Amino acid sequence: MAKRATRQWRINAVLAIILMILLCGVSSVFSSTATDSRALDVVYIDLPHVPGNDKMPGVPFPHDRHTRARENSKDCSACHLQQKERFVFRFKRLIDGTPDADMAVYHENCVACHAETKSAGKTSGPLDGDCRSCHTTVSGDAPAWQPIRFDKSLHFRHVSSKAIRPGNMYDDTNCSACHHIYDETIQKTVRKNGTEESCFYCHKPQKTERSPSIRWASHASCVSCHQSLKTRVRKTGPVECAGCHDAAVQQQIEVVENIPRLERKQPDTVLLASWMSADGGSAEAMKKVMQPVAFNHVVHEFKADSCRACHHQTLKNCAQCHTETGDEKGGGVQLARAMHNSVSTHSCIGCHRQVTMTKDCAGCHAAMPQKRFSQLACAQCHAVDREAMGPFPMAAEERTAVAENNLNSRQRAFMTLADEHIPEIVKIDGMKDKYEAVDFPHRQIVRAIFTRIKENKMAAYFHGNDVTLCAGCHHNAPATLNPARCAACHGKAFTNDEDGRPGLKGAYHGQCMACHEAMGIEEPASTDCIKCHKEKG
Amino acid sequence: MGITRRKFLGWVGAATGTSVMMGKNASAVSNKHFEGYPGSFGVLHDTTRCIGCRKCEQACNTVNALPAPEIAFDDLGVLEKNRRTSDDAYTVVNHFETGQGTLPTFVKIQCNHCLEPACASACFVKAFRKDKTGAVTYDESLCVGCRYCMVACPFNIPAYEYDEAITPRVMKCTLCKPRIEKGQLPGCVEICPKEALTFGTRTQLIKEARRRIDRFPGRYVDHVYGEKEMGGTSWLYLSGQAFNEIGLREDLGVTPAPSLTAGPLSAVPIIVGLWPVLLTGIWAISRRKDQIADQERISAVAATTADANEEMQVKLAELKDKLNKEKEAAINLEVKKALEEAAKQAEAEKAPAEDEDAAEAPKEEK
Amino acid sequence: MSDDTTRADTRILTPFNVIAGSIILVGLVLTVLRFTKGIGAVTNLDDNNPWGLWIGFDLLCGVALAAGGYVTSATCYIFGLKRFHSAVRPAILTAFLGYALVVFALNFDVGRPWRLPYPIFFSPGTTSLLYEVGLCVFLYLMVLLIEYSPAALEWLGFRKIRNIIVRLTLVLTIFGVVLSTLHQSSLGALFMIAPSKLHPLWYSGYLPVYFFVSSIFAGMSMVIFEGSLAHRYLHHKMDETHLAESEGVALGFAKAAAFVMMGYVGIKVIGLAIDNNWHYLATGWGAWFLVELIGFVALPAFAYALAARERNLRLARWAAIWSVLGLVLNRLNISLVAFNWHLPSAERYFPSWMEIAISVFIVTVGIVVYRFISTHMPILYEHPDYRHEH
Repeated sequence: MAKRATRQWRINAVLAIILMILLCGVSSVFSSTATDSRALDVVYIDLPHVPGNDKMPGVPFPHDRHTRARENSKDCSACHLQQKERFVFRFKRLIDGTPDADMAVYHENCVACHAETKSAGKTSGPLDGDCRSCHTTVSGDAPAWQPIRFDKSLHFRHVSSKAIRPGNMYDDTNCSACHHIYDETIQKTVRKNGTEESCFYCHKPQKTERSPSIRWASHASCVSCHQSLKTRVRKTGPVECAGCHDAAVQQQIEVVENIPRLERKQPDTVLLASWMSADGGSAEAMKKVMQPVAFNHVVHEFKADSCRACHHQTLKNCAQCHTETGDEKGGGVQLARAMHNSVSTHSCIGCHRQVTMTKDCAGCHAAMPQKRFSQLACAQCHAVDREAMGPFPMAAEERTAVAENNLNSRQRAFMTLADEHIPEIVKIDGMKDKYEAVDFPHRQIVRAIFTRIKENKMAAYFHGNDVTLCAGCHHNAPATLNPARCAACHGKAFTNDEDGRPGLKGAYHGQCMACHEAMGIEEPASTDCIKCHKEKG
Repeated sequence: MGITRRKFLGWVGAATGTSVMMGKNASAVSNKHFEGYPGSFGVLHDTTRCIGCRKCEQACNTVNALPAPEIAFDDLGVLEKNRRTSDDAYTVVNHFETGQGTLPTFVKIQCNHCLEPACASACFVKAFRKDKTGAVTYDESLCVGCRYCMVACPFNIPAYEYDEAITPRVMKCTLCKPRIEKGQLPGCVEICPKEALTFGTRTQLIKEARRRIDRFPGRYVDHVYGEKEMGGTSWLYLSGQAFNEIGLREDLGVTPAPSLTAGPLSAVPIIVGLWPVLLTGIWAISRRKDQIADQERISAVAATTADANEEMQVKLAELKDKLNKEKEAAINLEVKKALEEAAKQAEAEKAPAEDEDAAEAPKEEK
Repeated sequence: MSDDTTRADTRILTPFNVIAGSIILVGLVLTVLRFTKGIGAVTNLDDNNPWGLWIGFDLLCGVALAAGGYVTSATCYIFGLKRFHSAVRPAILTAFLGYALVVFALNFDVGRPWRLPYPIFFSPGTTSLLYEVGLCVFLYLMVLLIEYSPAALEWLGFRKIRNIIVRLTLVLTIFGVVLSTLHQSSLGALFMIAPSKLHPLWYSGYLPVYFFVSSIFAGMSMVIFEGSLAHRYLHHKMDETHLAESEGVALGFAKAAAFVMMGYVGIKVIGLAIDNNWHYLATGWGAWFLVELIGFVALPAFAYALAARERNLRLARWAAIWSVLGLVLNRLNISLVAFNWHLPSAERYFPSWMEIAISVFIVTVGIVVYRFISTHMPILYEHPDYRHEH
């Protein structure tokens, strides 16, 4: 009997322990937390996997901590080897070997240096056997990490720097210090004035057969150069990760205003007429094409961030790749499609659309359907009169002259509409059962819109005449000085119009409130009814 | 104890009756898809147009004669808290901040008037019905108050008058069915200043929604919420942000609620039909097992008895035989004795008393 | 035997009477409150959480734990295991009381309880699983009443009617099993309409099967559990057959329950695999799910198996309590814990003390009625007039 009771007790105890373990498991699952310990300067070292090896996770290497630890050494040579007076930003080797060999390089050198530091009595990194101290699973970029934008200002500071010397002794500009091209015949990079293009055209996000990745190229070139200049001049670019990639540090980078135009023998004005570029064209060919566009290249240079804003692959002219009927070089995209793509930021229409979505313009333009083209709109750009062309074949200078003439002829006075043409107050009494009639300050609003875009050259160019602006509100009808009133088209809501046009109330409120929102006008608030509608007394 | 044939038949009849009654539900499993009553109405809520003025809440309150709210409708501070529909508000507007630099988004919620409503499917007294106007109607004269509709509703819309002791009701948007039938607009749609609510037939609204997306691809997410969700709803939504960022769940799926429970419902007639047969079978087997066991016992007893009798007979016969033999032997012995005596007597030729003794002896043996 | 009862009846202030009396008193006060101030005044229910403890415990657990009725009568009459015969009557009584209390509890939970007959007689919503549940519970309650009635009729001495009803036993048993299969499973299927609200680990297309299977072992566990309670408190009411058979009943059901529970664990795992919900196991919800499935099903099943093997009655009784708790945990998980799992914690439901008090009140009423019936009617013993009839 006693034996039996003991046995029973044992069984109960075992079951109780199992239950306890389960409950502990639950509580541990509920309480697990993870903190974001990723630093800004992390270089993630992760060698390719060797099949058959049980691979450890990679190493998030805190680069700046190591740079600072070696502060007394003047350069990067503690960790990086040199080739042709430039550092190669691999660790202790010039080229990648087999993963096993590279791993040995890391293990030997890292641990050796850590051990040395330790024996010198300083704090050091992990030693032999502390595998998981380096090989942790934390990876990815730190939240504060930002890509650096080499914008026009930074570019200009490099162009105008006295410290930088051109790559060729006889060059009178700094360009060849950085810009180079790959010479197919000698299979080497060469530096040649007038061939500068964007780094990104060759250095892609991933390395290609011919070019290292943009990441590799920019670190190798920029950091090496900054490092070498450090010995000669007082002020040079950053060599630490944070110097370029910390969002806060980026804010402090000096910005130069009024940057002069970059010189690379580009035209001031271009007559966009690809059909005549090869042979100078003919009168016969002209009959079958769109009117040419006179393109102001200078103005666009100043408005765009960089050449890459439009020239996304090369600085050659657009029609070289985007031929009239489409070519393999241009990814099969026809010239007309390339110019009119409303989604791409490299196309005319796409970029202009972005401009129309800025606050000054969006009041009217946001309400316009994205993909709608009208015949009126085409002529805004395709404005070169066919009569002005010729005689054929036209030389390059002749074409430029035609474009210049066209652009000059469109310089005109903007916003000259006299008050008498603009009604001052419009009475709106659509909701007279609830509210007093609204005195709509029509002229004040028109003038406010005029003021916002008066200085805008693009607006002046494209709003063919002042009445065009009226069409912002008085839409969907030819612009005239006496447009139809709103109630002419908008009436009772939801009366089975297949075009989905709003009723009068929806149209008024939609127009006023959407415009205020788009233009950032906070007063009157859309929800503040009595600011516009006086309550019936 | 057992069942008679008549009882069994009566009981089969009852089972069939139940399954026929439930049979209606089984049809839910099929490849038919209900796309709403033709010409039924709905509302398209374009959240990019909504300014959060709460006029719709006010109109709803007035039209449905709901109690006046504690905080007036023109107090927009209410929007700072996320709200849901309640027994005194069939519709509420919620406010969502969706990223830096963009304007806030406002979303009005109310009963979505599903094409195949979960509440109607769940209601065990048919208090909810999908009307041909598009409205999902509620009949409080039938409602028991089990609140399964509230459990079932994927949009968490129906509310309950918990503080009503005797006559609590489920409260939700009616799509202003009485007004629609009179040719008027629903209260909220009529008052909306920005036409953020568009009223029309559901088919038209889907076309209009698609047209807006097509004309302003940058403004809208390319999805009409409610076109497919939970099998489709009469209220439809357009948004500039991901729908789950503005409180509309994207994980509801496209299966109409009735299909979710169609499986178990269709199993009912099968169980009613199959179980009794199986169970009776099991019973019959176990009974037969018992019966056979009984019979075997009886025959075993009988066999044992018979065996015993036979053995007894044999033994008796043997005994008789033995007795007879003994008797014979005894007679022979006596005869012999008598003969010997007679021979002795004859030899001696005297004493007649001795003769009488010899004659009496075999008599005693019998 | 009769000495004991007389003494118990004469003393009014027994600890049992005092506790039960005060619970019932509080219950009555809360009942008045419920029907004068509304559900909102006594519960923490709100629009997001329309079902609370009264559904999760009183209805779901009540029905599942009353499954002993159909399980035992099926074992005895359909599977022909006559040694379970003495367990049938107490099991039927518990089932009958259980269902009666479920219906009683529903009167608190639904808004207009006098309309409870509506779905059955007035406006049947045949597309609803709740309708099916309602209809089956109603019919099954009738069946249980008839099944139970011989005990009352023997007590009252109506021999003729009693004999007629006893002859219906098999039909009633089969009918009872059919109805139980339907509504036990349908209670689980109720939640299938809300996949967006129930956590994926608990939501499954097999919910009805899970509910049905778990009701089987819950019923068995309840029979064992009640048996042990009756042994302790109503020992004097038991006849020799009952006493002789009770260990066999407990260990027999322990063995059966061990099998059913392992099968249940198996189909739960199949459900996980079919919906490919493995990854949820690594979350806090997964841990809780495993606590329920392993801690409160697999382990008690193991304990049952051990008890049956070692013929250890004590362990079987502990395993019974453990399994009953597991069942309650499962039903509460599905109806309350894992339901509305995506809502922020501020909008989640936790019962008010008054809801708990009403649930306790209802259970107490059940115990009091059970005690009355089993001390007065031939439940735990056979009526001397009808002995050796079967």
